[in-house]
Amino acid sequence: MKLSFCVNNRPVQLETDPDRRLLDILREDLSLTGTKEGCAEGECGACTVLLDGEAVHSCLTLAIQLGGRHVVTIEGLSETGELDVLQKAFVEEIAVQCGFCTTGMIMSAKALLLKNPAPTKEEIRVALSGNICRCSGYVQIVRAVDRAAHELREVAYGKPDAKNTG
Amino acid sequence: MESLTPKTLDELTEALAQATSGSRIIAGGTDLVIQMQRGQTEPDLLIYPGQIPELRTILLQKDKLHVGAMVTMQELTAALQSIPEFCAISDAASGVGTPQIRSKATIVGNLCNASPAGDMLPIGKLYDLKLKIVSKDGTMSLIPIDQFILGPRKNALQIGQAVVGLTINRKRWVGYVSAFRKIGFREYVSIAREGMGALVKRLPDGMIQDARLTLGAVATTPIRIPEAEVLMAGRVLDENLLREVAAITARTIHNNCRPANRLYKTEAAQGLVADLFDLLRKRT
Repeated sequence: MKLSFCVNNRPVQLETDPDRRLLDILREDLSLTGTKEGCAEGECGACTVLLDGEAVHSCLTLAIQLGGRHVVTIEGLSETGELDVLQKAFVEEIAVQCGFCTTGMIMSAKALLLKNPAPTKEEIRVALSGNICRCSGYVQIVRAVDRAAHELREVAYGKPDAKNTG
Repeated sequence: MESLTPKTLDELTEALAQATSGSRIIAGGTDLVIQMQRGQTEPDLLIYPGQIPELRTILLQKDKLHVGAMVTMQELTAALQSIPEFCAISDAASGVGTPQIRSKATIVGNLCNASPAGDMLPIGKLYDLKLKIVSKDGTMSLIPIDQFILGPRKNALQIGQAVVGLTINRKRWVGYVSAFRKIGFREYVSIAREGMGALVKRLPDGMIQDARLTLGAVATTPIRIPEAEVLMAGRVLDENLLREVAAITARTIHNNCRPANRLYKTEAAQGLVADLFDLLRKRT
């Protein structure tokens, strides 16, 4: 099938099989290897990307579902060469150990912050409930997302707020 | 593998005319893709109806609710969570899988997949929902949930047919409050070991006028608990009623589930009913 869709704000046209996974299109056809393959059956969240702004598993998304849609991968967050606020927060909070789950975590967090700029700690945990980390633990990860949310709000409103007490 | 991505209902019927027994319709794909990856199904033709606007629509009217076949769990949760008679639907939809699953998985796909553990099966039975089905000759028909779910992973769709949406008679449930709870191995990301839905209509003094209860993940298809429903009428949602309903629910589960699961599922019924009553009380 002929597939036309958008990846990281760029139009992409491919001749591909309708049952080719988005994960394989990204990693093998477009060389966007930041998206990781973990369990390959929608359990671990390592392959999470944004599809029209929503977090989805790229391992469970097929080419036939992609026509006309917009995919954002981890590479799309730092296209200007500067890290996204979320990426910086993960570094600052040392929310990374082996790093394999990190891109999926960040994309799930991105989907959350796009919809909810002031999440509680509980809302962060729910948003990340589909992402499994088996080495660093979740404390620093939740803290990093919370930090990014605060920093984004400071940029937007110019002052810290007291809402987010989780 | 051939593929078709119809953009209108007419194009969908044209696509269905090409379908064989090996063809599959893909909605969110959260079940089908796994089956395909495992080699459990190898479709000759894959039809994706996600670009048909009518299938992405939620229509909430005074007398009915219509949900298109491509509406996701997440969209459904957001649309219905503040409507008392439909809270059970958002409870169930918001508990399916993970955020990544809920942003793609559809209520109609969950029903079509007909897994005994599917959270939308007891919901379907709770509301007597009907599925709107289109055939390859363009005719539309409505099939009640009981005639649609035939058994584990078996639905009534025939070759050349597709579900385009579902409809619930809202008028029937105005004035009711509703809730759904499930028990799994953990709070999030869990597949139901037991799920229970409730619709309750109360008078201003709290007395129950009418109640309906359904159980999922117990038998191969969802079941009602008529004995408890009758018992609840004329009572209030107090601890005595909770104990009696829990006992009947436990007995119903005992009589309907596989022997291997009987002990655990019967015991768990107590907590499930208590959780459900909690939710119903909060939603007065």
